[in-house]
Amino acid sequence: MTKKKTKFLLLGWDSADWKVINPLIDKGQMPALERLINKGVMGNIATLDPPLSPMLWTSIATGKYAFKHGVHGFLEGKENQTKIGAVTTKSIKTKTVWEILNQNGFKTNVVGWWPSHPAAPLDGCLVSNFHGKAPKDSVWNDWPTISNAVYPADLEEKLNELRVHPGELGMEQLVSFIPNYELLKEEDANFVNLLLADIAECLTVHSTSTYLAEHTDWDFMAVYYNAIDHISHVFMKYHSPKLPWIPQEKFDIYHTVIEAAYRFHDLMLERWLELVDDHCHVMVLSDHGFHSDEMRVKELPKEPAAIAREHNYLGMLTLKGPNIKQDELIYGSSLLDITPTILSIFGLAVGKDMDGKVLSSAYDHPQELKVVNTWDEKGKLNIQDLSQFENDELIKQLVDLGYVDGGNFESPEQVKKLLDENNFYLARSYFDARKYLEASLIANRLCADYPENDRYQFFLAKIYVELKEIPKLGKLITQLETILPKGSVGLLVVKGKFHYLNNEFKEALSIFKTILKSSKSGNAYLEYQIATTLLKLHDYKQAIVHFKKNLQLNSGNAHAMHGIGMASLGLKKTNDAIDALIDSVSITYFNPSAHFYLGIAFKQAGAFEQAEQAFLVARQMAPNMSKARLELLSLYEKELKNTAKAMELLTEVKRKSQGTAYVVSGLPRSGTSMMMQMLEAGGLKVLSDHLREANEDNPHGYYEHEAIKRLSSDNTIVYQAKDKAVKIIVNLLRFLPSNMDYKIVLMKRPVNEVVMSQDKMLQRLGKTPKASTKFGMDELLTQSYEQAKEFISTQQNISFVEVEYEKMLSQSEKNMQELIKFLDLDLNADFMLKKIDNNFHRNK
Amino acid sequence: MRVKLNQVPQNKSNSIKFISIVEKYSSKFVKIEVLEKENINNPNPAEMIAAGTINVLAMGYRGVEMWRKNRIPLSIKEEKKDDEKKD
Repeated sequence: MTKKKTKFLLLGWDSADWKVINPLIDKGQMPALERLINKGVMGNIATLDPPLSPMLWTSIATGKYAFKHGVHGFLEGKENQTKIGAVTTKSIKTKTVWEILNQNGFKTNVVGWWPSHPAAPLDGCLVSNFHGKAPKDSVWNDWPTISNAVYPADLEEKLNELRVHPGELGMEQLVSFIPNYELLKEEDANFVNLLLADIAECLTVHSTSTYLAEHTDWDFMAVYYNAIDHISHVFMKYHSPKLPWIPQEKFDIYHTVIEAAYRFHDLMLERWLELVDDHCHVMVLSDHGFHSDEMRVKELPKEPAAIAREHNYLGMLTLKGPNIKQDELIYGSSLLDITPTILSIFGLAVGKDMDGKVLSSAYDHPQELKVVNTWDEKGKLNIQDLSQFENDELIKQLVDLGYVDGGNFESPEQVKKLLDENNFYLARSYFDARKYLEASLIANRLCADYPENDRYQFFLAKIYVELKEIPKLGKLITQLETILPKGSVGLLVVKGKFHYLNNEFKEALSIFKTILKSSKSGNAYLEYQIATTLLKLHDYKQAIVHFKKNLQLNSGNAHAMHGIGMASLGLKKTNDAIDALIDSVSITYFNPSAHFYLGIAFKQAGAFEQAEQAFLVARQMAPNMSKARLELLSLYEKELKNTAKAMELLTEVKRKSQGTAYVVSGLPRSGTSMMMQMLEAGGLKVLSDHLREANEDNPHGYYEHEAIKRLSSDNTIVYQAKDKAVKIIVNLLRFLPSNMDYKIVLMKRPVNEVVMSQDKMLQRLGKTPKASTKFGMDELLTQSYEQAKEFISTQQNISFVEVEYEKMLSQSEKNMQELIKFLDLDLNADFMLKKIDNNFHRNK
Repeated sequence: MRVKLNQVPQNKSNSIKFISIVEKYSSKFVKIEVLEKENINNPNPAEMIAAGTINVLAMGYRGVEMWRKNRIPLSIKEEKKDDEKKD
């Protein structure tokens, strides 16, 4: 019997949330989804920040963060950032999963994905996300088609026919959503029209995609439905239980809409399950959830993309198909994992440049994991630019649909403002990936350009909190005090965090409690801040009280459960700690600290084998977590009496070490190239591709290697540096593989000289830096240097020496001998000294 | 068993009034109450149709095509009503 071809159906339900789905399944009102779950796996899926649809769905389709895939909002800069354009297919700078599948001979259909306009050629069919959108002023019998919305063009006529206009719909459809229609008044027309528009667009996506499913040959099909998101933004406030501020008469009309929307999706899913057989994988997922409980917001702030505040950070995921476990939960999924998982199911390699992982815990039998450096080597198809008219039409649609605020898109000030909002989203994407330095570089510039914008200032404060930059946070608070009213809650929260970072926990607690007292309703965020501060003050009982209050307001908060676990450990309530920590990792599996404390709790309870498992998971997630290693060691020696495993652990670093690499590091323009030349002259081999040619700035060459620049996504190049010198800038040191030993020569040069030298180099290249980008550059460079230094000081496998650029230029033989002694190599000091070139110091 | 969305009310007298609320989209149709049965690969079309047209539309393009084929334009329906009055 021949093996059936792999087939995969991916259904995107924007904003779908288990909190709404689970009660409906319990009542038997989402039977199709229930069947899917019973035949497969289900779990939460963590979203990304910022939670804006074009960014998130592109991350799902590429397995990459926004700063890699290039979609940074609804709009983007065009013509050298002087004009505004809508985000299009062309904005995606990396391969989508369907392009990779096409490249490997699989046929793909894509409907409604965001962004997918204009419909780019692919081996299969593509219907763009603008195909079914009805402009506000259009009527059902005179609805213009949008050009380039369908590929291939010969399907255009048929698929246009299948579009459903809101004007075609009426009572018979609406009554399914609003059975109490008799209570509607004229004033409800706006809401009703919004609902009609959402149902119509949803029906267009569904009818075109089911047509393609039945009339084309396909291996992979991706269909995106946005109705749950759109309907939730309007009607979730009327969902049961009734919120205190919602008038009873409106609740009576609209309280059924949300459940009906979900049940409608279940009906559509049922059709899909009829259209595919059991050999087809079916995945339904959302990009984030939507608050349906006490976390619902009464009033949204007047700021761009404020509606994202209604989103819940956990979405829903379910998958069934061949080799997928049945009726089981999966943990720790992220939007970034979808593309790697799909590629793995098709037996294809996962790109090392992807940020997600394969959800292998969903597989019945383990599957070989293939990897490839990148799928981007072949390059993307050349997609045609939109005409000015098409671009203007798309922007008008985005404004009509409420994604973008209207305004004058021609004025240079407005263009800059809109593009900087995109930069803000880009910075948030870096922050989300814990790339705080990159985020701070952008945030600093935004704060300098918009000193009155408290959103940017608060974001910078958040970065400083993560980086534990206490003096800078202090300065920022002073700046915020000049632009915000004295009692600003946001400002007080930042002040509380400032005290917390300063270990002034009592002061922090007092501030958080004061704010909470003055707020009229509960505040989950403040309850959490109070609880974590109490944890620091060892007031475990009260900490648990506040973590529980947080959970009442934000059920499913894995961090609060983690906190309860820690506090219970403090109270020696081991079983409570185990329960809470298991709950926490069940929701957010990737949390090495929670696994570590779960190990501690198991150990205290005498469950040593479970403790071993928990410590091993913690170490797997955070290989440098030395406390987990020590606990394991103690467990093997004392409780488990397993000398062999203890010895294995003790010798682990040495046993695994792949040799020693000699790293020259520092800030760019701090003499690293000169040091590389010296080491080469002294007799040490160097790892460099010499692709970057010598020039006036570095007359003897740069001694760089292109692959080193990609260390954050692929650090295997470093293994080639065994017994060689290699140049790596400070920001990348944290990506060195942990199974090698390193001797690092850290070049130190006054930062003002570094900045001047960089500026001169940029000027020579004709790239004069703008004043705004220089803002705070010296501070940022110092920060990068110090952070790298702090990191390498704590690593067992790294030793380093700091070499002052100035002293090196003095050509002191003593300094040279000290350096050679540190490297513990037989190098020729004379040859090294001869390489020192005083011309290098031209920027002094 | 196929789930039913909220049932279509038997009393349709409010349909016309309601359509005036949504006139922004110039609704031109009212829909017939029972659609013709077709072999649409569904376990129980009669039940589905009785549950309301949203169930038919949820079937995708086949549902949309069937629904369009069977609906009656409002103008015709009103003409019929006028005729009935005259009689």
